[in-house]
Amino acid sequence: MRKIINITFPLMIGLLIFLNIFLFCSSLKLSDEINNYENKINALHRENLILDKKASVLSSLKFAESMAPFLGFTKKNIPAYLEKLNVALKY
Amino acid sequence: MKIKLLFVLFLCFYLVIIGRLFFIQILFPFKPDKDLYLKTAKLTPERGKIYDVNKNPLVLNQNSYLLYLEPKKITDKLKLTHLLSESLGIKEASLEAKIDQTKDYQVISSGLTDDKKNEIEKIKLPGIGFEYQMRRLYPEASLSAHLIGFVGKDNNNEDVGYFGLEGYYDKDLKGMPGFLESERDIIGRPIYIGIQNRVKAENGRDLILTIDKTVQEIVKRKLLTGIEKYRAKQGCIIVANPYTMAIIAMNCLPDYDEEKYYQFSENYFKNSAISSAYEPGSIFKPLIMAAAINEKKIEPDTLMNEEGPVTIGDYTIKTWNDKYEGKISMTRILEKSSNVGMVWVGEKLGNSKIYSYLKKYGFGKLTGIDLQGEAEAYLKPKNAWYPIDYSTVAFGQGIATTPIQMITAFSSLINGGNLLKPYIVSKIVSETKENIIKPKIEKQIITKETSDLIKKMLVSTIDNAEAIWDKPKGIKIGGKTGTAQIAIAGHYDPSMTNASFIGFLPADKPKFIILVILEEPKSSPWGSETAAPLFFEIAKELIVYYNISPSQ
Repeated sequence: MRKIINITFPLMIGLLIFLNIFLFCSSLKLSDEINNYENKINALHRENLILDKKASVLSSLKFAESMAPFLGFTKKNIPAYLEKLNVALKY
Repeated sequence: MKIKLLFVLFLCFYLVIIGRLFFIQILFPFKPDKDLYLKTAKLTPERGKIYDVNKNPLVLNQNSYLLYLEPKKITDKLKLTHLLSESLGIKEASLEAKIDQTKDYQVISSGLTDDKKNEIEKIKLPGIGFEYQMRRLYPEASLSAHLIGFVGKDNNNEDVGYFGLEGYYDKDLKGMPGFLESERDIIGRPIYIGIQNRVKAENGRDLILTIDKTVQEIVKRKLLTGIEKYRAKQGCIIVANPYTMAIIAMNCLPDYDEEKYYQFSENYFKNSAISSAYEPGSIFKPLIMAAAINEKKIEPDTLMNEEGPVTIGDYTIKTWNDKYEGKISMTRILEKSSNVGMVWVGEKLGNSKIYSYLKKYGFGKLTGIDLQGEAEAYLKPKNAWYPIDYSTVAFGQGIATTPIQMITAFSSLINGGNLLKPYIVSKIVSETKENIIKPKIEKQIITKETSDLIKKMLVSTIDNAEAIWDKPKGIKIGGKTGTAQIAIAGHYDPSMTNASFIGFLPADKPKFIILVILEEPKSSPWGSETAAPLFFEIAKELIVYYNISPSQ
């Protein structure tokens, strides 16, 4: 009986110490992961806003207006000029 | 012996622990600094975005940074001020004077972009820090400044919307802030077994508008050229769907830059379309005419004798050109915009009915449009009306209306008689649901038959108007010009007018109604020579945009 206790008691103590160290390390790792994901989410959100901005600039009327001359949309295409060709001819 | 020694050692060890605990807990209780590990933070929600009817963004959010210094940590002040002043475009001397090295924290600049932040980060000197913020992004610049409003700060330095949609829907757009309570270690990592509470922030709701940004752009561009061409002080244009009173475009000039709103005085923030009262002039005539038809006092073909000016008390009322045609029909009264004829119509309708119809049309109270800053144009109480007031109101003088009231009332004439509540937001979208806003009929003012009759009369008004306009061919358009003299110190100044035009097309089933107002045009005082041509120019572009075929 005494022999069994002598073996199991240090084993239990050893196991508990090991478990404690394992839990401590796991919690550190998980904390790191939480931190990491928090930073990633923030970075993604910021990146999203940057992409949102780029997309909105491309779909804006200001951009369309700046591109219009290069795509052949000029004053002549305005309905008023199509209706009055004599005016369009002057431009 | 060994066991006894071990026992004594353990006993001493425990006694030391017990003694230490007694010391810490009883004699000198240790009060841990709660904030040492427990960090709390407010989680700022993202403000709702604003889109036009086709889901094109009008207002988004963008990254922004606040630059602060921790002066106590600064090691090389001269180098830091030199490099920062270069990046920020601030004078080196003023930046150096601003830095107080006795302070822990000093804000230097806010609203920095990602690029600017990256540039400053390259300086790599101690004592520089950034705080993340968000600010509004307007992809279309100030295309809809008055409609949108802007986001400023309140007394607690919190974001708050002012004017327009930002002001009206501030609570929806703002969202609900969240809360984070987290135990963190010395380098800021969460302590997993410690307290970790997080109440997620609820982002603001997005707004989908009835505004079409293409129409808005057409309207703004045309208004700008119109104001320059006719040398007007300012101007407003509203485009709406008369059957729903969904506002398709609304623009008043001059306006302001929402990004730099702080550089403008408060006068620029006022949206004249909803908060300025004008005497409407002749565009008001169809309202009284419709009321008289609805009350069966007249018919479009009823004749009256326009033999000359009419005298009401001490006042003489003439036609705009002092020409009189003798016997004319009601339709002709509108065509030639006869003040004398309208006084006759007003008399037929009767003072009591005139006043009750003004109330029915919604004058004297807010339309309830979902924009912050709507003003209520004053309607005198009935007992304060003199006989001359009933005569002048028949042709749109002596009464003040806001443009939004005017277009709302006028829409009821052409949509079958319903007075609708004007609105800008068609959908409010949150993370979990969509709230669709439907058109709201306030009341029926005139019958459908009256509405059809007045529509025909208004088409005839355009077809047989005395002015010659460059009208789109093959499309039926109804409308009315208006020229209202401006009252100054109790008198009307004949040289100063508000020129206006209200029209709709295609007349049989109007797709839109447009109100154009030009304040004090210098090239001509008449609505027919300023606001009307501007209306037709806009109408032409909208005909193409909406694919309205000439057969309509």
